[in-house]
Amino acid sequence: MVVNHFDTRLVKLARKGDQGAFAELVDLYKDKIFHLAYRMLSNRHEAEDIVQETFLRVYKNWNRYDEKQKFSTWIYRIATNLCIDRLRKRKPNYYLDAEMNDQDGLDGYSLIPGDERTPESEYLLSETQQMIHQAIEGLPAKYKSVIILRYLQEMSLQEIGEILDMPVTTVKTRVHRGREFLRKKLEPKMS
Amino acid sequence: MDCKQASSLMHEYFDDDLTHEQVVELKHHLQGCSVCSARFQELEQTEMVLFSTIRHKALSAPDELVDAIMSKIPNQRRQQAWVG
Repeated sequence: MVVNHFDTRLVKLARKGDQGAFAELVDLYKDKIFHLAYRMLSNRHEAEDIVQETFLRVYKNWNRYDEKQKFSTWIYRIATNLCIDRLRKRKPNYYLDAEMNDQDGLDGYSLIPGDERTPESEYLLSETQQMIHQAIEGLPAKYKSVIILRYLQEMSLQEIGEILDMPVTTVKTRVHRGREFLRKKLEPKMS
Repeated sequence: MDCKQASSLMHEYFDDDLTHEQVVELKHHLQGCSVCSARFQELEQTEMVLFSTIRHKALSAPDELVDAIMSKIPNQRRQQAWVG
């Protein structure tokens, strides 16, 4: 993501209480946040809730925003944390995820039923796309957020580290694990 | 280089983190090891599909959401004007 001076200006105005500027920020970021939340949660209504909640938190927490930080990093952090909280509340998957740490192998993850999913008929996705979304959906939460930020939002490893508040080395480990997981899931279907 | 090291280098290759020398070493290993070579191809394919197909389908949030959000934001400007 490019540093956006337009963003900086809008943020300054919005922080001072300019509603028009705030509405423009909502307009600029709503689809990105929705996309992120939809992929994290696989549920349209929950994704809409996340978008609303994210902007309300932005509004309420302007005093905590550090202008030296990119606005996009801050808003993605809020949104990602909200999604992770929701995933945590969905017991079974998270339980399995919580039992594992980065030092563990991936084999346990094959136990997760990755194919229980909501139909996406409304989007008329190609088979390949569906296959990938299913594979991503089956990822444990901590790999899911990293993979979604990396590939769906095309963020750098550095930026992902800032958003998730973790060292780049951890982000890398998770990208590697996530990529291996996806390779194993996708490979039999692609060959 | 053993296969374990090669596997870790493969990932760093996809992260664009390898020096030229490391890339040469990795290539050298891949040429002599069919298992790693197959694994590399699978990873490359995974990486490609992830980047290419996913970004095409950007989802949009419903437009009503903007109104819904704005209706929950207090009109601070008016308040400020009233106070000041």
